Amino acid sequence: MRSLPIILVVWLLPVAPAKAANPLDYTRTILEQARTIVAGNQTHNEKLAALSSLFGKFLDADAMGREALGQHWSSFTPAQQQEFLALFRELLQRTYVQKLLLFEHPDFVYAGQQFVRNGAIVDTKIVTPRDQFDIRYRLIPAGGNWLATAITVEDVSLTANLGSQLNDLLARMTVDDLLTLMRRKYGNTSGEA
Amino acid sequence: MKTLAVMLKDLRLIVRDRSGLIALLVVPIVVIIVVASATQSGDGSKSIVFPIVNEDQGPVATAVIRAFREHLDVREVSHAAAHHLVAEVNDAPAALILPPELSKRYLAQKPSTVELLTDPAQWQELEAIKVVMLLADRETASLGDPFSQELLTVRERSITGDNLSFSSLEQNIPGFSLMFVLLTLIFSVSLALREEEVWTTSGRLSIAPLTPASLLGGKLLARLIVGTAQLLLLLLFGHFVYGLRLGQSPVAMIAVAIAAVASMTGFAAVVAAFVRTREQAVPVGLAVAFVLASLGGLFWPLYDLPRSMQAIARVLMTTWSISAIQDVMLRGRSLTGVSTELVVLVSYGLISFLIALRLFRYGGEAGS
Repeated sequence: MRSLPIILVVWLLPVAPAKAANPLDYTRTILEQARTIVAGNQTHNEKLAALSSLFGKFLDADAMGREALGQHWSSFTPAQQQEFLALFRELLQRTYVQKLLLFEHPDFVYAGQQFVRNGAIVDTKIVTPRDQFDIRYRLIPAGGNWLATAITVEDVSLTANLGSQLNDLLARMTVDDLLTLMRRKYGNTSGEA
Repeated sequence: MKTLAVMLKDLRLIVRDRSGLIALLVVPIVVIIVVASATQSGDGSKSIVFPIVNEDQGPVATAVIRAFREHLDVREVSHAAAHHLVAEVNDAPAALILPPELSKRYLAQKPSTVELLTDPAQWQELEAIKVVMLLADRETASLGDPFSQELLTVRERSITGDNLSFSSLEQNIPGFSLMFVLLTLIFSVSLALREEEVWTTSGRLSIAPLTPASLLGGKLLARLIVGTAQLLLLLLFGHFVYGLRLGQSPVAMIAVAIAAVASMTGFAAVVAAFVRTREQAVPVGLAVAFVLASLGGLFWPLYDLPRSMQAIARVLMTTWSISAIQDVMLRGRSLTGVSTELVVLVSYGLISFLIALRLFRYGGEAGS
């Protein structure tokens, strides 16, 4: 009977993140840090770098990259897949972070969370004096925290939208051409847009 | 030795005309200062008024407005005010309408159309705005448009006429035509009145049974007819040789030509009243013509001028003249459409005539 607590701890480990911080609280922690950065008086590029670093820990860019490529993923060689994921990470962070920087003083409202199979969904809003923007995060537990595997802005999935653009590009160019294009736009990781 | 004596006599005569000597240097310096200020110290695109109707009020509209504010004189206005600035008073070459839900659509990666209401007659300012729009487009493309998806499409719509494209000819031909008419009027009126003194015909005319108003009025009316014919012929030359558009109303164009030349003729009489010698007529005439032409938008668009000079330009008859001609030529306005300019120009001519009448003493010393 003395081994029961140890067994219980081991058995509970995969869901430990939910105990460490529930998905809503974890999302709140990240977004409030983002709000502080956006409202701060750093330069645009400094904010961009700080936000990219923050969301680098929150966004599961590899999962989103694979999902965005969809059926094309298997037509990439392993080397191309690795390069694509590295570039997609930069693209995703810039796309999401730059949008966040459009708001001068974003106020986040945390509407709620619901647990689903494999993870959770957190509903948030960015509220401005005239309007509000719904942003939904799909999260999965990872280590002691949560990782966002999908972001939906105003009912439009960021991954699906990027996937649609990638699909259009791959219909008229080769994988190498796509990677060259992405390298040109996102190969510089200095944080400048 | 005889040549030397003649030279010394002429030099004494020239030195005796102190005003003429001052005019030789001061007047060109004034012209140089005005032209240098106009061409080097201008605020560039920053002085172009760009009304924006912000129906979105969201973060994307705010970012777009912030981007334009870097380069243009952006004014957030209502739809009616934007229309007034572009189509009625022509103070702005274009206005941008940012539609409702623009931010929501942009953030959700859905394309939106923004409308650019234009006055193509201000084509140079419009070109500058389009360059700024390209810059802003590059900035927004890097914001949330990773593969340059067309999230913001601009739909351009002229609200001042059917003509959508113009060339520098539309600025240069009327501008230089007006400048030469003004130059001719100032020289011809000043020199003719001075020559009558030399020929002593002015003394004889002063005792003729004519009022000074009739005398000066008659002389100026002759110049008005010649000047109007000169201006219309120059515009016709531009039309037939270079395809210059003259608008849809010949009556309006003739009325504008008469009113513009009337304002210049009256002004030329005022200048003539101040010019005491033939030697003064050339530098003063050139100075006045160049200053009025450069400040009045005959050489380059008004937005190229510093703001202080733009304020001065608004009261010059050259500004009103080129504006009236462009209203008829480029915006297709009729007689009623240019009625304000006609009233201003004719009033300008009449007031100048009355001032000249007060200053000019026929048969005696000119000026006062």
